[in-house]
Amino acid sequence: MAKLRKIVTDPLADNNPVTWQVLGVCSALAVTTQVSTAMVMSIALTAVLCGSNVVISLLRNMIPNKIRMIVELCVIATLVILADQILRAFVYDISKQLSVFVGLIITNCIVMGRAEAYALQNPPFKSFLDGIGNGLGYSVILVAVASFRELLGSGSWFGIQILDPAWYVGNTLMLLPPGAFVIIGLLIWFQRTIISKTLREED
Amino acid sequence: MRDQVKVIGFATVVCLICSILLAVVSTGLAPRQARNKANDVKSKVLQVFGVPVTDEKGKISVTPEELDQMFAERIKGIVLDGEGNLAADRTVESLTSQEINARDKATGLKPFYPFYTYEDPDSGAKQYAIHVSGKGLWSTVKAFMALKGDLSTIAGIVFYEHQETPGLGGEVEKPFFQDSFKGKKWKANGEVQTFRITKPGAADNDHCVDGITAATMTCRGVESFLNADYAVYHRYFEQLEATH
Repeated sequence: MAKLRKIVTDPLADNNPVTWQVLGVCSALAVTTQVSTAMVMSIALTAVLCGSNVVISLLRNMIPNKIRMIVELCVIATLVILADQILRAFVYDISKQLSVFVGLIITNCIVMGRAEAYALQNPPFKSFLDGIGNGLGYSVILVAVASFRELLGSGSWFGIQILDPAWYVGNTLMLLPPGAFVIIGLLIWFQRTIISKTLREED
Repeated sequence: MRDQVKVIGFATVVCLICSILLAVVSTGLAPRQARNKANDVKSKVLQVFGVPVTDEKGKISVTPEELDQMFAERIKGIVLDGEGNLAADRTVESLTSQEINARDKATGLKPFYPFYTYEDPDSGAKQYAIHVSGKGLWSTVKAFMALKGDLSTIAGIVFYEHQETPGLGGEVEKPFFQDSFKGKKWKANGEVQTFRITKPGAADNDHCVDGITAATMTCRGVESFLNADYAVYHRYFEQLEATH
């Protein structure tokens, strides 16, 4: 049980896909100007990651080694297109906001990376938990980055105006991709030097 | 040899399953998606005429049936071709996004231009809406523009789709920018003027609005497609005036 829990909690901080393995950074730059889009993107990615991990784990003993990557990609792409079609049919407003980003989940390194590194070697339930863990790990970073960018860039959080535009001039740098680089860099530094150090000392 | 057959067989099966699944889902959901899209366009057209159909967050606040009814009662759409002539064989409902947004590289014209007429249910006053769209900085910016009865005074504009930088070019959808178009005029003494989006704070007459700080490229794009698209509609307006 403790082991299963570790599958979920490990990627949240100590082995975070974004700040530790530096995967999925492209979308962390693209969709983090507003917390709400970052949130929806996180949910979509977590769903796709769980789905692809389970399917690939079920197929893991059948997939010929030579074509395993292309099969992984095929499964992932199918799931992403399904998700996109469903969003468009049932929550049209959100799908309009996300537009191309949902399609870009296909190329998100985390999905492919977890399929390769985990789902191919482990049974479905564990792979599912791994999907949840990594999806949440990605979400935590995305929402954190988006919170900083929206607050400093537009003075709002989740679309609610917090810093009064009368005296707060939005920092445009935060709304542009370089702003995300700066914040992700700071987060990585923060994690590697402060959080991980205390964890290591506790061990 | 047997290994290769197995690989090809496996790949074929995977591809088949994936494609069948996608085909089924996509055909099954197509009517729903088309309806969402049509509703979205209808709500935008009603919005540009000042009919309240959305809440503060921009979500459609009336039921699809109410939307259909309002649209059918108050709005009539016709389709123009790139020459500004009536394309009688097409209806606005049948137009795809491609047909009203894709510009021909050589001529700079789009295949079709939808044109909407709105009749106020109380006063019977008529307003008109044109569809304008074109390149911003990153993406195609799309908008409906409402004109008053003189076909020159701008009654409103709604930027309904773009992927410009939020906070910079994305500000085009904000009320302060959209509202600044209200009451501006395309024509002076019967002549069409070039509509300008100036540097912020430099708008000084009836044919220009203030641009957005730090969104110069987006504003330039908007300015250029506004003029290009109005020119096509204007040809049709001239025909109308000639027949009256």
